[in-house]
Amino acid sequence: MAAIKADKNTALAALTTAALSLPGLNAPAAIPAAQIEANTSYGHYQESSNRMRVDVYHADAIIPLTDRIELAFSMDRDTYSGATPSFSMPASMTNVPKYKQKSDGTPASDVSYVDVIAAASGGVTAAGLTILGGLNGFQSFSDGNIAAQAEIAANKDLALTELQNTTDNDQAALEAGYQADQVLLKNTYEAELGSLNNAIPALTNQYHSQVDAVNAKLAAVPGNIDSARIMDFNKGMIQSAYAGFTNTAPIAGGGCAGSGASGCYEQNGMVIGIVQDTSNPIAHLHRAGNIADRALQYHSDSSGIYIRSLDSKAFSLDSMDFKAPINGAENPGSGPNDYWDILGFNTALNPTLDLGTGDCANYATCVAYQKVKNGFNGTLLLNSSFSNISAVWIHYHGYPQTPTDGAAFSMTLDNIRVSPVVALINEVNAYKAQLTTLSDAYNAQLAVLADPAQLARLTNNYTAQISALTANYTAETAALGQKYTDQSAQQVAAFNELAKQAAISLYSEILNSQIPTGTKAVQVFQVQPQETRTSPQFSARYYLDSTTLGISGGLSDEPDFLSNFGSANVSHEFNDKLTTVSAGYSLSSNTITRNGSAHSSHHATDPAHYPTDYAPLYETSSFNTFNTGIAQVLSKNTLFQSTATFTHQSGYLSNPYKYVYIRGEITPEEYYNLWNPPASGVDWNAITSLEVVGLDLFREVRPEQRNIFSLSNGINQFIPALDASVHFDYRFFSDDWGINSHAFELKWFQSLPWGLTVTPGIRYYSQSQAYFFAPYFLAPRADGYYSSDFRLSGFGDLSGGLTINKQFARGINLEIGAEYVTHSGSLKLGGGGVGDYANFNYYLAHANLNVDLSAKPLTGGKHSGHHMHDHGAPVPAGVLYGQMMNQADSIMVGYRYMYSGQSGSMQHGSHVVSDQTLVSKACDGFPNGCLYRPASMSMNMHMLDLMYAPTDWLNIMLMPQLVNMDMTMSDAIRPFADTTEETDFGGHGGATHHSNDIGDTVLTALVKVLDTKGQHVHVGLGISAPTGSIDAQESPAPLVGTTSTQVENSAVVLQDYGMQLGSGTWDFKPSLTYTGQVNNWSWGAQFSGVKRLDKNKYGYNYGDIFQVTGWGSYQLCNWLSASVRSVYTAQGDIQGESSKVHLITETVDYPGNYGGRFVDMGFGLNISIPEGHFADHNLSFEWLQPVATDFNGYQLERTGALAVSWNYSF
Amino acid sequence: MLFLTRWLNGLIYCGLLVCQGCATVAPWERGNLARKEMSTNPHPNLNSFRDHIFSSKEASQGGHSGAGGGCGCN
Repeated sequence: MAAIKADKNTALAALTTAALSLPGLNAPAAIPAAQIEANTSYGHYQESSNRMRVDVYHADAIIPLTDRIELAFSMDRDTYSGATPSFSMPASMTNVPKYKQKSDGTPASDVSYVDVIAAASGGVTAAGLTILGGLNGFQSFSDGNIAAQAEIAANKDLALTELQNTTDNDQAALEAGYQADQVLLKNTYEAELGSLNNAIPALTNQYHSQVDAVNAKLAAVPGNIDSARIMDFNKGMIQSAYAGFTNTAPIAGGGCAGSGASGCYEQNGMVIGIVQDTSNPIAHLHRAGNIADRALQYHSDSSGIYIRSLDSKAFSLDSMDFKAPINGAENPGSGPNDYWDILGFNTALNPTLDLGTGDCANYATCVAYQKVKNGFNGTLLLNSSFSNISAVWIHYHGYPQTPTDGAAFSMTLDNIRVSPVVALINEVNAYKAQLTTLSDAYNAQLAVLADPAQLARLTNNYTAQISALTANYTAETAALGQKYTDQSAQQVAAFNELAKQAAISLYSEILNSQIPTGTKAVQVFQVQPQETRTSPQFSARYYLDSTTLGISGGLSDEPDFLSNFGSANVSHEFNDKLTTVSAGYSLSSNTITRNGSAHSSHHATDPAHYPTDYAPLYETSSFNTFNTGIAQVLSKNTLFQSTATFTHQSGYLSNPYKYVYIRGEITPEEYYNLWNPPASGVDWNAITSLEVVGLDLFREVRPEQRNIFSLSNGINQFIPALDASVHFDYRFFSDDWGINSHAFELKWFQSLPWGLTVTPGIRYYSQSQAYFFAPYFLAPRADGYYSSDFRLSGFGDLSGGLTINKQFARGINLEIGAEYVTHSGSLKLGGGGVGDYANFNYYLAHANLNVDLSAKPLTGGKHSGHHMHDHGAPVPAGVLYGQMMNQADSIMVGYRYMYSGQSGSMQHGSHVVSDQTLVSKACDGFPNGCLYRPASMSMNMHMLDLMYAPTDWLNIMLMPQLVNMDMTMSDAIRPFADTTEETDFGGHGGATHHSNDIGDTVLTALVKVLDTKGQHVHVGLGISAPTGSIDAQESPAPLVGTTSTQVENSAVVLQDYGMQLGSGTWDFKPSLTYTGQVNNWSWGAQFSGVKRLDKNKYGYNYGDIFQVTGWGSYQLCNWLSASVRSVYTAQGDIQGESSKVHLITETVDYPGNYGGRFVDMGFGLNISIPEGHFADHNLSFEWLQPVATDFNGYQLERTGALAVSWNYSF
Repeated sequence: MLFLTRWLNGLIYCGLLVCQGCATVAPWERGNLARKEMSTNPHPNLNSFRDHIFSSKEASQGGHSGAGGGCGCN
């Protein structure tokens, strides 16, 4: 290029150079920038109906390194939040009547109207899809199933009774024949004995009547359990609650009526339940402990524990682990009447106990009693009266029924030991001894009356006959019994199958609700927590004479998606630079994870509910893109360009947050099996290869490959008569997912006076749908690919926008623009787009500030070094408003970064305090004291410094800023007071809260007061506008209804005061700065303050600040100086208290724990480049080290602060 | 194969246009072409913002810049 310049006159050379700088594609300028060029821009995206919003902050700089090498850096930060469609489903499946569920899964009377598809949550269980509020909760199922099951059960009972009666008749006939045969044999035998000696019949008669009398007494002895047993609850305590009655009539087999949570707990032949409470139909006992060691819990929501043996036999209650420690609100009683009554009964069943007083004396059958003081916590030995009982009742004294007076008590039982009743064993043994005595005496008398040999022969003969008869009878009875068992089993199986089919058909009925063709779809939204994407990028270009080589790389990081990418491209100009061809390749490598749900319920992890067990998402994908393009000058006013791009995507291409409704992927029979899972558990992958997220709801699956071709064409036409140019662009896009799209765009660039360019534009876009897209699926697809993401549907976008561009003097260019987009299925080219359920509108707004440093004023045609813009010796980076520009019309742009951190121990004043102190003192107002403390906090501020000097004594400074804060909480610093507290406030331990967005904006006027050689004083008068939000939320608030995008405002919980991005108040910020300089030494001092002018909208304001600082610095060489500074800061605590619902468990949630008095030492370096490419740039760093701290209230130790400042003035 | 055909069609199309456009434009006649609004991308930041939004709301992507990145959307 130097050769060209030398040959022609300057004007022509300039024109030629300008002309030859025609952009190519992907290497847009064939001439490197001469000076640094920087952009900062902000974009805002907002969807209609309170849906998603995105804020995009962008900054970039192009830095020429040499004549041929150019570097560029850019940084993007997006924050996005709001509601986004999660899936869609047929409208006819919404508003389906459903019962509210009781804890045991049985329906209560209230009906609510819900979507058939339960809201997806972090944990899905078999029980959740069926018994816990899924399918079983729908009114049609509940009503239908109760009726069907009752009818089937009645028929079953009828059939079984008939079978039983037949069997009983057969058995009776058998028995009668057996008895008659026995009598015949006995008569024959006695006649034979009488023929031996006629005294024998009388003797035998007498003997038998005596034996019968003893046997009658033996039979009258109460039944007794046969062995010692322990009930430890560890195995088989499946239900979390038991509501069955054990004191009333049992069902066949000895258990209590009801099953599951409506029934009783049985172990080792013993059965435990509650005493029927006529005042409380939902009284129940609880399961306590964990899965490894269960126990039984009774507290103030039932009538007590009732224990008996399954076969109602007597037993001895020996001991039990009885734990009722005095415990806060749960079991507070310690007065004289606070004790537990244990009653023993001599009958197994004792109905209507709850109607008595609960005292032993009040019940005729009560034979044993023991009193246990509340607070007892150990193994309880029962007194001797419990050594022979048939039932036990344990209840809190004075409460034979569920308390209605608010009384609270709690006790857990474990390892209940029972054994056979010794007295009954003894009684039985005594009768058996009597029988032996009788038998011996009878045999001795017989031996006297007859010849023993003959007697033996007759007796043996008789015994053998009886044995044969009995054996025959036993065999026939057994056969009859077997026949009955087989037949009844068949009957039961047949009826169970009937019951199953009835339930399955009811499931089918709900799942296959009538959906006429063309039933509208309804979208269901999910609220997205505010998240941030950060994307730094770097690129370099190397310029050869007519060829440009470029490489770039970068990454994009958001909480669930990390992308690393790089590209290489080349462009070549020929045909006298009328033609530019280019080619490039880029690679993106992505890692996709998924944010878990914040607090999933205990149901989701309880093995008894058979949760799904999908591994956390960790997937990758890669995109390979090739492009080639051409730009051609067609005439002196026309440029044409075209680019072809091919992209191959592979890996995980699904959206991990999108769901699809698919009917039939899980069949009603499979749902039935989930309702009654086998003990071995549920094999989810055998049911479906898709990930289940709700009723008939699954995560979407897209193919793992995608090939994309697109061709972009554009023509730019300049119209000299109008001083305008028009751009028309068309892009064709096609991929092997079946999506074809066309995008047309027309823009009119109209130049106006005063450096203005106005650009109206319209865009139309249309796409066809992916082959695996549907709003909902009424049958599974053979290929297993599904998506209901609106982005893959057929639709069109129509948009119109306007951009206004203003070129200021000195290379500053401001561009603002807005665009409104209508997204609609009916806008699809050729029709056939998706239904209007997915329509929405959005707008984009955008502002860009471009600073081109090569456009400096040509004073002297040469840089005059930094003296031209002398604004005194540099001040340390941490000092704001410390410098003035003393030449009228000067402009300074700068960027300032400030970090401050806190971590380590908690302090009160200047002393370290323990967690116990925090609990007792730091959270005044939270009933049981602080639950958490901050573990670490950090704040990052990015400030843009824009300064203009209208005159030499006045500078106006504007400082917008971006704030980013993180706070990590400790684990709980004390035990939870009770389960309510744990439910409400648990789960925050170790959590990190974030907030980031625009902070407050400061506008300051700096007025020169004194300016002599080496001495300078100026006053700063600043005002801080509350542009920063004070609404940083703890977590996204739920939606009012699943198909609505209205946020439930009452559920919004704000983060603490320190995490808010702005003050919410207009603040006055005065300062007074003095600087001095002699030779290489310079020094300065500043007084500054912040005065809050009012309280903010939530009724509080941050403390006022006063700061004084002094520094000295030494110029080490002509571009580097070092500084030392000391700072004293005093800040008041927060005045007032937030009227909005906010967190309350931590020290930082209390206004008194803010502000204090601080001393810091600062160590800084300052780099000022006097000449060359980077003349007039100033870069400084300063570290502020805390020296002394005197906090108000209780706060986290300070660790230091960093300030980095770059500025450039011209 | 569909893609190959489209590629070829695209290339032929481009080639035809290039031949048509071979009129000579002298360097000093290129003043209008050198104007900022006649460049292929007069508003690079605005366009990258729009592309970012459009590619997160439409199935189509690419055609403007080479390298990819995250979506910042769900």
